[in-house]
Amino acid sequence: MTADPIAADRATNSRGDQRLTDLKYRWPARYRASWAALLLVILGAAVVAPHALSGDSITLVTALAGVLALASFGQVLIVTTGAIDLSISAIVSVAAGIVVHYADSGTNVWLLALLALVVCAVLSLINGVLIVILRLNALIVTLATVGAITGLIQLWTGVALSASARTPQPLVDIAQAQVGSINAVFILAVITGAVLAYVLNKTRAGKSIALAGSNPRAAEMLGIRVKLVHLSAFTLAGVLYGIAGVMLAGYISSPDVLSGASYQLLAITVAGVAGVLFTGGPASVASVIGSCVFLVLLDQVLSIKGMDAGQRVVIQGLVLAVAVAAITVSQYGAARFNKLRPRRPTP
Amino acid sequence: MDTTAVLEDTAPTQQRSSTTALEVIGVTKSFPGVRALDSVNFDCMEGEVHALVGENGSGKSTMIKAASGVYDIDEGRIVIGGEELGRGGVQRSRRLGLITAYQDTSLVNELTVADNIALSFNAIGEAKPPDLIRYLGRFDLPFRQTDLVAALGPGARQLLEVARAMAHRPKVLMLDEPTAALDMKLAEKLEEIIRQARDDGTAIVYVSHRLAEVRRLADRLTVIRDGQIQGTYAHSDWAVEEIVELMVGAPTSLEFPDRTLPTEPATRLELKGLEGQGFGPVSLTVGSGEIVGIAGAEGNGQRQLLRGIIGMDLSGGSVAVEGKTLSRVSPSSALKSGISFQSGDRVKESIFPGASVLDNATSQLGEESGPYGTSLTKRLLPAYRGASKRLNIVAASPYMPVEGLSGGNQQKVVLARPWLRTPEVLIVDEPTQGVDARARLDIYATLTSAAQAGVGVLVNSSDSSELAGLCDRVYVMSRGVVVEEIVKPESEGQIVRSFVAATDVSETQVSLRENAGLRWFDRLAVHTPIIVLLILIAALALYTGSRTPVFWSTFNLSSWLILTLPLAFVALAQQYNLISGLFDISIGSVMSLTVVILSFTLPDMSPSSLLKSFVALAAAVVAVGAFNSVLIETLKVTPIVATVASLGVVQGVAIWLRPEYGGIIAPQLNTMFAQGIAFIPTTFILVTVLAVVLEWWLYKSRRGLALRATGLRSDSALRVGWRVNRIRTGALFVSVLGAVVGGVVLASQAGAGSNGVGSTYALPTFAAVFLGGAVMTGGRGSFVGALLGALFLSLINNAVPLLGIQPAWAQILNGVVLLVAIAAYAGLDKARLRALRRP
Repeated sequence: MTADPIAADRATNSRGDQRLTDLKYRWPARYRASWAALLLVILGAAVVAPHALSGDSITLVTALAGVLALASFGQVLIVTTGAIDLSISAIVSVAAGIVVHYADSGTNVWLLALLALVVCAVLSLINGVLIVILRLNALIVTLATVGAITGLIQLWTGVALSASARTPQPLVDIAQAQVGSINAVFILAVITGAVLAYVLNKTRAGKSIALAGSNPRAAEMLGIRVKLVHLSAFTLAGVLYGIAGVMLAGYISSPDVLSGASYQLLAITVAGVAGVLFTGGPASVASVIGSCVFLVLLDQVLSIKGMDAGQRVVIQGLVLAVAVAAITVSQYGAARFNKLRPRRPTP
Repeated sequence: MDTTAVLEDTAPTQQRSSTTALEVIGVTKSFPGVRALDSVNFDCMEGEVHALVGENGSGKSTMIKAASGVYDIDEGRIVIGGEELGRGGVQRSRRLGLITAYQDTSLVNELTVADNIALSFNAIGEAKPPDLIRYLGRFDLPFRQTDLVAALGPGARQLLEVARAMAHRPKVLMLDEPTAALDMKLAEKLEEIIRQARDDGTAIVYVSHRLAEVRRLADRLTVIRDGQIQGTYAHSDWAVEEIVELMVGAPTSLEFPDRTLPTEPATRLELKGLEGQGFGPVSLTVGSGEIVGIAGAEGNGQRQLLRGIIGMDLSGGSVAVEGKTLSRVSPSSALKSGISFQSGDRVKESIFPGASVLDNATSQLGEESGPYGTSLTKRLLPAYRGASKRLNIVAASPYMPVEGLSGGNQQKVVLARPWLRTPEVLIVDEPTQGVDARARLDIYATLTSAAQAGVGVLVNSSDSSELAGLCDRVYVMSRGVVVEEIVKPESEGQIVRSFVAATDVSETQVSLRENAGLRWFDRLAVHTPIIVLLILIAALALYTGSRTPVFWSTFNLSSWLILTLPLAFVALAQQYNLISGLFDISIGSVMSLTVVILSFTLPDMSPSSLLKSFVALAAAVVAVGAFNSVLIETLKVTPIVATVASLGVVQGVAIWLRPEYGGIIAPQLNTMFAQGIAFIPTTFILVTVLAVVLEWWLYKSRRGLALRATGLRSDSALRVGWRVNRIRTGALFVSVLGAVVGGVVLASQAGAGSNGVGSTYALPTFAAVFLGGAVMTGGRGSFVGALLGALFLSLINNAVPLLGIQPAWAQILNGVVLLVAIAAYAGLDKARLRALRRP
């Protein structure tokens, strides 16, 4: 914590300046970073790989970014509470698995989708109970559940999910629909994001998620029911994973049991680039979308430029390292470099 | 020594040499927003007791920590026994002969008394003195060397801290409130020992609240206030009055707002026999329009009492608001019934960092925020502006993060909460801690106007002047109970005197709790996993063997052990890492990278190939270890996120080097690892020996002890002089090294380069380690346990196909076993803590 010596001077600024100052704080650097990165990639693409900005490429990028954004919303919600979720890949796969597995039986598609969301919500709530109520470490719990859930879905549906291994047509139609060059999943992600942003920023219950994540002890002492709030966040995250999984199944139309695997690390990278604080606390939903488009577009540009998968993964890892290092440093300032920074003695 | 009362050496009571053992010269130390030490000069001669007195937060502790090397100073010099401390840190300070006994101790509670003593000597490479036991015998320590520190009462712990410091026979001994938790008899005993040490020539810096004690002991006395030395007195040259005045400052220049005192106030808050951890039973009342203070020397249960009122760590008694007794006391029920609690420990208990000033101030606003549970900016903003104007909150923007404000403004944001949601009772803990003078006035005005509006206000403060200025009544606490009630306190001195006197109250505090159960638990924590795993392995092996005799074939047993090998190496390394309190999730990708590297460098077993492989792998260890260390130790990124990043980078490099399966790895490598005695591969025997040696090392060696202490309580390890950063960096490298060794064994089994071959190892590694009794919080675990964990998990993988079960079951079992293990061990730990807490 540093005192802001300029604060006092600024308080007397003119109204226009005040608006600008307000804006600067409503959109702090950690939220702006993903948009700046996106802008850079777009400019870079225009120069070195204009093909990445063509209609077909945009459709692909928006579709992948849309699914990624839906899944990342869930991860970000959990990170907001101060936990982390490595089981995201398994839960997303479960949603995809359910809609495909029962597709041949002729069950109503919408009922299936709803079932998928409910199952995902329950799975995520189980994580929540283990983490919040039993106070087990989030990382270990979700590392364990990712294995268990992946195994279970394989037993339940088989690796190929069903005989035809095809996603029901109505879902494919939705997930592959386009508005101009923009894929429908992306539009769904933006709408979901808008609703989520409203809940997190404009409702008392939603706000308490970030507060309880930012400082659980303070939240508890100030009368927020921290456990209840955290469990709700886990459940909501499960629903979002479910939507992501159903849309993923629709877009790739013949998913298998490992279709969600890449989201495990990707969603954490998204959160890092979007300026989410891994210690818990408020996050920007819009920046999450920006971060998703940035990462998918970057991947697209690099692959057009002939980089192989390995090089692209290296770059993703470095992007995460740079993003979290920059956020940690900007958050704590140079004082963090001092190894003997003052620490409150623990009583 | 600059101001009021610098006195020449007057007749010393003891013969004293004139050698200066400790010199603090012009030392300044600032923390964000506070200048904790301001050009402080202080010295201590050989063979004298130099007392340092001051109020809470006056800079005493900072000076002690600066001289001890815990804090780097901004300006000035510290000279110990004629040598500069410089930036040498704790280790150099201790090696120069300065040993400190802290009030909150530098003990590791989870270790035994003997281990704690050893830890302190080991850290500076000193051997334990041969007459240690006889020396400690002088203290009549009420416990045995084999007792766990956690099982000792607070007094016994403090005595141990002091005894341990003195056992070093230091040149300079710094004692921070050494008698705060001792009863009269033990305090006297300690005084006698201190006198003896002084006569032996030790320079003793003595920090205490108890002026009576200081008068008996000190050859000189120095008063510090607000980080500045106020004056130094010779032994008998001071009167208590005078010192108290210097401690608290000249009659306060701050003006306290006037207000009309309530006549016959209605009772707003009534506590009856309230009891909890560290306080009680306490009964008191706060009336409407009253401001009631809680005073006492630090650590006498004031903080705990206030938190007990909202149900934190509460064990008995009742809380009534407006005559209605709360049926269940919890923070949310207290808030609903009209109690607003605001803590001055802003970082820990009251602000929400990362959230805006606006959201922090309006976090308790209810219906006014908007209809249907909404929280609309157009409603919040005017409410905040009103509060901001009234409380004089100076913020560049309502949207700025609250941690960007100065301490005073943060505190005003905290107090905006009750201002926006008027409570019946307002409880404020340390309303002005770390707050500048201007903000103080605003805060006093806020509290006063709340009282004026009929709110009952209860304030705890370590600043007695503000209690004297603000309060209608003050309850003085000592050792958890109210010992005096001062109605209409007239001066700060009146309050300070009451608790300076009160702390000499005799009461038995040193108690050795019944700890048989505890020791049992503690042994269990280390050995249970080993026993449980042995039983599980035997049961699964017998069951599988009974279903299919193939299991017992030499070939199958041998392949079980061979399959265990890679997991075993990684698990041992990860166990080491977890014991130091760290975590590395990138191990799987490091294993993959190792296999990929060997697929290029080791087509055969020629010396040149071996050398090439060795160099390449060593480079990988250094690169990944350095990457992790920089992110985690230097940049302070949380280990989880940092190693997710390195996982990505390492995995990417592996894919990049070897996009597709290919590159032959010398088949002789496989034969080499498979060779052995009967069905047991030699390498397996090696890894078993390694596990046993590591186990022995962890529990019997100096560095093993330091590793555990680092994981258990890194602050304590740091205070006794261990370089905690280095230990943790070392652990990160060990973790990578283990993954590389595991990767080499895996390469022999894979036979060719494959970039994803290690990815399935992360889950079983952590499962093995946690089955072996590791805890996420560090400090505990067993290498033998981790090895058995690895054996058990690979047994599952071996048995599943033999039993004709679908392979997915192996994965499910891994996950479930991990969950059950951490839940069970966490349960055991909780039971252990409960045993500890039991009075």
